[in-house]
Amino acid sequence: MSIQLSLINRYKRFFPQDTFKIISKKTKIQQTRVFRIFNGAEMKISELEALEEVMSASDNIKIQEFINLSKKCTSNLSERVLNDLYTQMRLLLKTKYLVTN
Amino acid sequence: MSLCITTLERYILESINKKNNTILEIQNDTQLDIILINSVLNNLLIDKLIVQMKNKYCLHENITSNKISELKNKDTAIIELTEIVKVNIKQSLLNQADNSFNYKKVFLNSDELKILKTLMFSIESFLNVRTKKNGPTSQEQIIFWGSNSYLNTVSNFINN
Repeated sequence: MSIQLSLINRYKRFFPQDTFKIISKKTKIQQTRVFRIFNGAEMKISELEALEEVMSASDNIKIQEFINLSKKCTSNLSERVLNDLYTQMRLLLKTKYLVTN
Repeated sequence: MSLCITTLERYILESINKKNNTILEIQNDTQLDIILINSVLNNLLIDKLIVQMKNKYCLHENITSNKISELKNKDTAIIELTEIVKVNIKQSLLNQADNSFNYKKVFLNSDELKILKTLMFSIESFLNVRTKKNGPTSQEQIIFWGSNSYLNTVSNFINN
């Protein structure tokens, strides 16, 4: 159950605006079933996978967008600005590393 | 790759610099979680910015001049300060904290501009006589002040 709960919480963080209707459309799980799952009913493996898949697809789009934007920045922005971005990313990553390790 | 020091590391380095040498002293001074402090201290040890003697941590006496210049690097300082301002303004705008980071875009005639400069000079004089060594690091205040013309600000964006 804790895996299910953490998945649902992650989904809510990912798509805070999603209604049960939208979740149902995205995951192809019946709307009443989505309602029950989000209110504590135990999930089937296939439902868990469907939710994971929606998040992973969205993850991939975001990552791809980020990579494309980075490429555009590399070819269009000045070296100084790129250095700033680079240092900023390094600092954010280092802070994340320090906090999580 | 140049040394890159985070605000978190600087916070702890400043605490050690105030003679808080054991983890408990650092914890008391910074009010951070011990596990987090430990993680930062390990990193500072790897970067050879501090040394450990038994259970005490001190600033590395022989920090190379390269490292000092990297620590004082203006580019890193700009990014660090930008992050600090960003975090505080974000908190302030989202009403997540009782800080008072504000800004205003306003037209001031030359007399009003003189008044503003005098007020800012007063703030600066008031702050200049205060030292940070008196109290715990966690109780220090981050204060920003200053103004710039809108045109100058936009020009800086363009020149980037």
